[in-house]
Amino acid sequence: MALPSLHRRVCLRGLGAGLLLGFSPGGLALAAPARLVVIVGQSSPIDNLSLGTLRSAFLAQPTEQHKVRLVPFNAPPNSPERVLFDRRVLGMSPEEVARHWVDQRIRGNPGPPRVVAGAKLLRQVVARLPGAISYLDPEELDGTVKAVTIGGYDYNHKDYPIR
Amino acid sequence: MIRLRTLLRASSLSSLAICALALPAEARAQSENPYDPPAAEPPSAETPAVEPAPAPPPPAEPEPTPPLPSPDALVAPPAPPAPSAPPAPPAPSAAPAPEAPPDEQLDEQLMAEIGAELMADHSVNEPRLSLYGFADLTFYKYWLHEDSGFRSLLYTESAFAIGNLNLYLSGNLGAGFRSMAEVRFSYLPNGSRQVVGGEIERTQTDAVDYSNLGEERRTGSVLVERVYLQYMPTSFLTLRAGQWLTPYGIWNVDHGSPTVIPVVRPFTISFALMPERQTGIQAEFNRNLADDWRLSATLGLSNGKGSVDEYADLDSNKAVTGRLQVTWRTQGTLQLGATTYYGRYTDLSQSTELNGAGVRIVDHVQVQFDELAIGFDILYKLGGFHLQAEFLSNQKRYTARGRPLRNAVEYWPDLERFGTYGVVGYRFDWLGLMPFVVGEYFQISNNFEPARPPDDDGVIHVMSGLNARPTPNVTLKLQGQVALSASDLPAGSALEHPLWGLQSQAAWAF
Repeated sequence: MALPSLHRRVCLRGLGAGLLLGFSPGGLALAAPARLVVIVGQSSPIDNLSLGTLRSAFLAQPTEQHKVRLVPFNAPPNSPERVLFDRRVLGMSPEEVARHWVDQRIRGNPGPPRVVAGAKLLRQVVARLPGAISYLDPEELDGTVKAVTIGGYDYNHKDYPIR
Repeated sequence: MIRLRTLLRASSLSSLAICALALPAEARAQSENPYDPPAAEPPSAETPAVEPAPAPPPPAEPEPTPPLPSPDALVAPPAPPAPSAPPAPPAPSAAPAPEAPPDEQLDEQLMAEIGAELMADHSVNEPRLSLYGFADLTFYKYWLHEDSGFRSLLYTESAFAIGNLNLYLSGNLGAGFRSMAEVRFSYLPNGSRQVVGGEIERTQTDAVDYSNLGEERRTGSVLVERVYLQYMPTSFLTLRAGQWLTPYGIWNVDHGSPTVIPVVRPFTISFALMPERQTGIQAEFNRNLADDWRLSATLGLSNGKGSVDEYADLDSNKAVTGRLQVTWRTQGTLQLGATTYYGRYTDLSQSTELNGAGVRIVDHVQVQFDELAIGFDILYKLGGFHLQAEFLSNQKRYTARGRPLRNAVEYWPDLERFGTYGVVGYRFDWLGLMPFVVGEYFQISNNFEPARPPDDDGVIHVMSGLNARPTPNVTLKLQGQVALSASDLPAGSALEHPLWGLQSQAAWAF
């Protein structure tokens, strides 16, 4: 099978990049982004979302905007982007988030959004899947996806909530 | 064809496991949450540290990329792969044709995996089954007076007990349909006790195993907790048909032992002042009212309560359930709910009597009453702080032909009961430790001492202890409990003496 070797290679590359970032196997010291930009596909009619709508989508509650069903994609657990997003949007710590999803499944509700790791892959998914929505470090933004304002605030605005 | 998600995702899971090895222990603990879908792995070149920090992003032209299938439109089987272009003849004496860089090959492969997952989630031809559940082991010790009536329900000897082994079977069927089932594997009815004519009889289910001659096995049972087909035509409407948990309060639907804070749920819940589950249809509306407010309304129509309500309605009188719930999320989460249930309970026996040349079946109503139940609940969470409370009331009004005898000289009167409980706790980060206190007051009908009036007896119940979640999937509990009567009881009453108990429990989700 080619997959395991590919993944191992990806992980090793990821570890190398992590070391460059200052994260060591002994403890997490990942640099957290100062803010996150919420992205949708370029062809999406969505330009602005309220924080409540964003929260609903990422709590796996069925959410529509402009008659488009939102399909959320998360960063991996404990990644700096995920930690910041969960704190600012869901109002939960990583431990609370993990417990929340276990409780939701036992309650019989849907599980958490899918996880896509890596900005490039995430941009590709969001660009190609109608309704897909996710978030990025603004430095990873390119023309394949569209930034969404939150509550009318651009991610450069001082009152932008996901910072 | 149904196939397990676990098998489908084997490759992704293996990659997760490999990645986990490269993470510190703290990070691994979070990554191992089985309910977080496996991540597609990142190409390392995308990490910000290896790229120069760009200024505001240039308005690059989006690359023309083929779209993935929309989840709403995924009802058709996966399209066959596009025929690959015929291989170009190799140029003589030239270097091999350049292949796509490994990173791009990887991305395309991962994109294909994600597309396949989305397709499988929503395809009518390839529904996927998810298996998960929870279980628990409890160690208990009760101290009961020798005259206590609780001795007919509880053993005073300390013991270990497997309480729940619940399995969930959930599957997306495509086009907005979903199947959901939860079953509990139980040792019951073995060991259950009943008072029969002054004797306490215990059910034994020992049976000789014909395939291992001489070996005796005890048979148990499978209890259907819920099973329904769900259809979501829009994002704000969900329809369910089957057997569903009555959507009242907090701990009736959220009944899994890993999520319930004390070892046992309060008596207010377990005494079923509101039916625990019903068989019928249900519609649930959800709508964001404002940025931070979400309204949920549920309406159900069912057989109601009855002696065989899972598949028969002995009075053809359908029960109605309604619930309104408002959730407010800003500084913490506040949830307020109100539920009402109205239905008729009927239990009847049948006999035959001669009818000319044949016989006919005659119904004899044994018990029949109209029942109205009303409940209110509140849940507030802020950081580690947890507050929840429920109030339930129940009114029974017997019909003229369905009022049963209470003893030799009187019939049962109409009954009104209520129960209420509150929980306060605070969960610390360290081991997810939560000290908690549960206080409860509830009423039980006096159906065990016919010499006393049938008035409802009040009971005060307190549980207090520690609940720890060292990982999200494991809950450890230790608590003490006491229940004592709040009514003026005569000497010799079964409820005169308090119940003291100490319990510990390990509950886990898998």
